[in-house]
Amino acid sequence: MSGVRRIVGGSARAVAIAGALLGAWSGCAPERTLPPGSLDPVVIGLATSTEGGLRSAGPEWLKAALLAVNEVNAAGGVLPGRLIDVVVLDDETNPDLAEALGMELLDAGAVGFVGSAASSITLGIAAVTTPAQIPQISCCSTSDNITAFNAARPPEERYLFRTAPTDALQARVVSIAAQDLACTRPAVLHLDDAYGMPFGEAIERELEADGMTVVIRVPFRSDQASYATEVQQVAATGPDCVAMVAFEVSAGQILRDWSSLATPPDVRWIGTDGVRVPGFVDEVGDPNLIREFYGTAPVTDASTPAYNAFADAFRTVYGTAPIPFASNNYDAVALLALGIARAGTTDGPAVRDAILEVASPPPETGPVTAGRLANALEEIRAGGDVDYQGASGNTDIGPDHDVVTPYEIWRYDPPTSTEPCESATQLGNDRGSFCRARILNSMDLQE
Amino acid sequence: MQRYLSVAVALAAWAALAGPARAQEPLTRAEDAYQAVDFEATRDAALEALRSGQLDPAQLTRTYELLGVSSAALGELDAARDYFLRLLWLDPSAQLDDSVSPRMREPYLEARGARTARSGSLSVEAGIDRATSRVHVTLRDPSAMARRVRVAARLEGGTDYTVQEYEARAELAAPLSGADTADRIEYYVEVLDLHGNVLLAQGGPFAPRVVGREPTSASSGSSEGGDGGGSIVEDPLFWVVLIGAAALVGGGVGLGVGLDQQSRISVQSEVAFGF
Amino acid sequence: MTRRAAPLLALALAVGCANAPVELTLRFPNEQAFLQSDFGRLLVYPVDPADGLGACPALVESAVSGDLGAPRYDSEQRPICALRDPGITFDDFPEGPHAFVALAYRDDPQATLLAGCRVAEAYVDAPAVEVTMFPTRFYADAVGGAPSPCTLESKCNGTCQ
Repeated sequence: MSGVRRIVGGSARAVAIAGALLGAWSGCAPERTLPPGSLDPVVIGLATSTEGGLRSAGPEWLKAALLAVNEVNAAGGVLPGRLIDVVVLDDETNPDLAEALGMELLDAGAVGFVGSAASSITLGIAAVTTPAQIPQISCCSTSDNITAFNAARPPEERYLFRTAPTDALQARVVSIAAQDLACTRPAVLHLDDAYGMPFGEAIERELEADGMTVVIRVPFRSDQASYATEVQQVAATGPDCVAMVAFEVSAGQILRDWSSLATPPDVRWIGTDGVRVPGFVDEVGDPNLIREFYGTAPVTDASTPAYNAFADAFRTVYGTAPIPFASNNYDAVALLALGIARAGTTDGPAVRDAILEVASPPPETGPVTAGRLANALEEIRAGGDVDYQGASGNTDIGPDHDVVTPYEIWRYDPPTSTEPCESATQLGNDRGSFCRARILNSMDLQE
Repeated sequence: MQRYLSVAVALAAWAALAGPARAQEPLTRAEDAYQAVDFEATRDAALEALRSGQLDPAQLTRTYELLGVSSAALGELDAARDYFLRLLWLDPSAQLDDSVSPRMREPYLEARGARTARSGSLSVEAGIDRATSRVHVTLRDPSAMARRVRVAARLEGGTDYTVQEYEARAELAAPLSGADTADRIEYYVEVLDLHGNVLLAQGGPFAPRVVGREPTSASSGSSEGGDGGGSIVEDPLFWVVLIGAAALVGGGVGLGVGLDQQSRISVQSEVAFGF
Repeated sequence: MTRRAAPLLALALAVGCANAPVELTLRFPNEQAFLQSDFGRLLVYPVDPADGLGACPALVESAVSGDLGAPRYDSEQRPICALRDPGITFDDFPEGPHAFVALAYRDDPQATLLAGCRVAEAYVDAPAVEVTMFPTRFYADAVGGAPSPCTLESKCNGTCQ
C-alpha cells in the first residue's frame, strides 16, 4: 500500500523481530485469548435533572435507572460478556440543552438513551436520536406531542418510546376529578412548553365536553420568580376550581402567590402528575396551603409483584422508598436492555424491533418481571420469547409507541390531617401524605 | 526538452483547473447573498454553483453548507437535511455557525444523527497491479454521492498523464503502459459527483501521489513503495539473533521452572461498596 | 550488546513469571448489605469462548436456587469478612474466559441475599474483574427492615454479635 514508510533499518529490524519472537515463545503466563473488544461494555445514556423544575425528582429517577443497570450487570451484562456502561446527561430541566445533549450522546457512542423526563427535552433529544436510529425511552414524558412526533413518521422510522402514558388520557382524568369535586366554573393554569401547552388545551376541551364552563386558561413560563400576574388573572374570573399543569417549583410559587392575594377566591385545586412528588410540599412551604389539594397521576406504584420486587431492591440499595415515576425509569432501562439482549446486537433498528417484541409479545408468551432481569436474560439467551411485566404496570407498547396504564385521583393530606385514607403514600420528614382517592382503569376512561 | 514538456502539461492542467475559477462567480454571489440575509438568492446561486460541476472539495463543502442553511431558512426542511447530510459526508466535523437559529439548525441535527448512524467514509486508494500493468483503485462510497472516478497516472519522471474516467464502483483498474516494469508511478485520483464536482481528490497534477517500490539502484532510505525491499530472512543478523534468542528461551525457561513455579496467574478477591 | 544482555534476559524470564494477582472486586450495593450477610462464596466456571460468554444469567439463577453445577474453583462458604481481608485467592489460574460467580448468604434463615456474575479473563496485567452484587428476591424477607447493629470493623473483628 502506498504511503507506508519504512522507519526501521535492516539490522535493527532483525533485532526487533527476533525480540518479538522471543517474547511470543516465552510462554511465561496466561495471555488474553479473546479477540479485542469481545468483552467491551455497551454504552447507553441516562438523563437526570439536577436543576430547574425537576431538580428534586431527577436524581431519584436516575437512581431507579441505575438500579436496573446494576441488576443487568450483576447478571453478566446485556450481551454475552458485555456489561452496560452509562453516560449520564444532566438536562437541568432546560430544553435549550437538548441539542447539545443529543450531540454528547452521539459522541459518547451510546446505542440507546433513557430520558428525558420533561417532554420538551425528550423531543429535542429525539430530533437527534431518531434520525441516528438510536432507541430512546422516556420514563416520564407524557405530552401528546410525543405521540405526534412518532405519528409523523412511518413505523420503521420510530425510535422514541415511553413508559408513561400520554396526557390525552390524563386530561380526561382531570375532568373526572373536577366533576367529583362538583366544579362548574374551572380555570386552567398550565406551563407553556411542550408538556404543558397541549396538556392544558386538552384539559380545557375535556372540561368543556363534560359541561363545565372554563372561565380562563392561562399559560405561564417555568421558573419565574413570581406568578402574581397569572394568579390575579385567574382570580379575577371567579373560578370555583383551578386545574394546574406545573412542576413542583412553579407550582409551589403559584400557590404561595395565590395565598398572598388580598382576598383569594375559595377554589378547589387539581394538580397533575408533575406535582405528585415530595418536593412539591417543600416548595409550597406551608402544608396547610395545600390541604385538600387534589391531583391526577398514572398509577405507577400498584402493589404488583413486579412493583414490589423493584421497590424492595430500591430500598435495599438506596435506603429510601422510590418516588412516583421511578418505576417507569427502571422499566425504561429494563426494556432497552432486554431489547438489546433480544436483538443480540446494538444495531438500532434491530433493538427498536426487539423492544416492541419484549414489551408486546404474542399472547401466551411467558412473563418476566421487574426485579427478575437475570431470569429474563436467561430466557432470552435460551432463545425464548419473553413478555416484560414492568414495575410501573402495563408496559405493553403499541405501534404508536404509547402505553396505557390506570390512573388515580389523589389528595394531599397534611401531617395534621385526620381524613381517612385507605392507601396513602407517606412523604417523610413530616411532610404529610398523598392519599389515593380513586383509581380509574382504561374502561373508566373510555366511558 | 523534457522541461518544456512539463511546462506544457502544467499549462494544460492549469487550463483544466481554471474551471473552479469560473465556478467561483456563482459561489461568490451565494456568499454575498448569505451576508445580505437573502436566503432565496443564496440558495439559487449555490445551486447554480453546484450545477456548474466545477467545484473542488472545499468549495463543494461550503456550497452544501449554504444550501442547507438557506433551505432551512426557507422552510424546505427535507432538502435542508439532505444538503446537510451531504455536507457531513464531505466533512464529518462540519459545524454550523453559532449565529444560525435553532429552527434552522434542526435539519442539521437530524443530518448529523443520520450521518452518525452510518459507518464509513468516502475514501479512495490506489496501487500498482503489475501483472496486468494497471493502476488499481479502491473506492469506498457509503454516501452514494460518487458517480465517476477520474484516474490520471504516469510513470515516474514521465511528462504526460494518462487520464481515464470510469463509472464509480468499488474496484476499478486503469491501464498504464509500462506499469508492469516501472519502479514507481505518479498518479492522482478524483472522485466526481453527478455534476462533475470533485468530491474527493488524492493528489493533483502538480502534486501527484507516488506508489511503487524503491528504485533498484537505491541503497537505503525511505520509500513510498509497498512491495519493495528484500526478505528479512536474507539478513544474516536475523539468524544470529534468532538462534541466540532460542538458546536464551530454553535456558531462561529451564531456569524459571527451576527457580519459580509461578508460571500462572492468581486471582484475589476484595470488597467495594456502593453502586 | 546482545552478549551483555543475555544474563539479564534469562533473569527476567525467571522472575518475570511472578505476576501480580488479578483483583476480583465484589461490589456490594452498600455497607449495610455487606453487614447483613454472614457468609460469602466464590465460584469460577470455565466458559466456551465461542458460545459461553453469555452463561451468567443461567449460572446466577441456578446458584440463587441452590444449584451450583460443576465449578472449576469453589471457595466453599466462608465468613463474609474473609472475602475482604485477607480475600480469597485462586492460584494457578488458567488462560481463557471464565464466569466468576459471587454469592452472599444469611445464616439464619439460610438464604442467598446477594448474587452477581461476570465473564472475564485473567491474564498478565489484566484489569480488575468487578462483580456487581445485586439483592436477590430473598433479601427483603430474610433481612426485614432492621438495619444491622454492626460496623465493618466490629463485624470483622468479631466484636459484634
